[in-house]
Amino acid sequence: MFRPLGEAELGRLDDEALIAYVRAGRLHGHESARVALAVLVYGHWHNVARRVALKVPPAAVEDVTSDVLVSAIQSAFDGSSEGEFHVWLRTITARRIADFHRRPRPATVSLEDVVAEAPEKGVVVVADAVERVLERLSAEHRRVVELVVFCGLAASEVDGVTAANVHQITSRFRRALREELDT
Amino acid sequence: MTDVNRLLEEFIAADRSGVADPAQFLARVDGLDRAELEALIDGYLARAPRRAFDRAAFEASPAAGVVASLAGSSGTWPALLPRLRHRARLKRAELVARLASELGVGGREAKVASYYHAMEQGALPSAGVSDRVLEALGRIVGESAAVLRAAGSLAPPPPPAAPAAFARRASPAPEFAAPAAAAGGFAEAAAEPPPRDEVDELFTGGA
Repeated sequence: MFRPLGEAELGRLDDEALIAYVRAGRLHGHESARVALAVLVYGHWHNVARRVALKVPPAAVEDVTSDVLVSAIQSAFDGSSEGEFHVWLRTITARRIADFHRRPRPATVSLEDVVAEAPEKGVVVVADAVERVLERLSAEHRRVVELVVFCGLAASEVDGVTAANVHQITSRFRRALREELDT
Repeated sequence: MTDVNRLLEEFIAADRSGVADPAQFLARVDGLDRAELEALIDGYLARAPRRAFDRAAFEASPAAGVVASLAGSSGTWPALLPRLRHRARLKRAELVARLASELGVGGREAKVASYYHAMEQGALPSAGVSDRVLEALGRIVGESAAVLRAAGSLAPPPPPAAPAAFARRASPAPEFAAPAAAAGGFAEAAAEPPPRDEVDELFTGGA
């Protein structure tokens, strides 16, 4: 049974629930499916665009960001995506940035807009440094790093680990990241 | 606390109260510190929660083109065509006038405008748009017809299954029934589509 939701309720759904809602809404031909899609795309646009902007020239950011979101959401609908949507979106972002650097395309850019220098060599490698270092950690240490380094929790707010251990784990992560970036 | 730690914390705090620009924070460090801060900001953004929906901001943002692409039948034209037009520094009316001229259908700009608008809105099936249109459009915005064709051929979302339809039928009370001749005339007018012209063929005839 499909129950149409309003904009505010849609905004409170997580990604997976929004995708399921878009599917169901389309099946029932309900216009709120488009609103749900807008909540999903708009919600992720700024984060993806800023990630892309770290790696590609400004004139190409919008193109690459559009490609990322269209690809990620399309594959979420056709069933070819892997895992949770936010993880899949991370994967697709890295792939599209790599594609951009591997297959330089002629872009229609006004000469007045060409102010950015080409990204430094190795820029794509930098994009994956965090994930590579995280992959080498145990699940528990990865959880601690995710919460403290990337979600901004205080050491004392992490369940099941002393503050001293949290500091040790995050310090090791940061050292490993610097080594990864320095090679 | 190192500069990198402090800057990352400042970035996250700024981002939670608005949208922070990584470049402003990265400009304050260099060398390996900059590379580390960039990787950490990237890691944070990859995990950051969705931005709250704001309809007005959405409508004015490039995200609207992505939604039109995903919801429409024109592939990624809704995202791509406005970008190409902006880069070519053309208003829609200017582009339409040039397109009509390139296609040799000057004087029928209004119809060309209607079709071009449908392309930007994702409402025109891309398979029906002829190569002539894409070649002319490509010359105007500086992109190849092949790229435009490929962008338009993004698979549309699966069509929704037809929901159960329940028609309510009722006969009007005799005093409100239309005279037979009038009803027939209306039905004929509604059934007869306007004659197709060259512009229709160019935008919906394919090839």
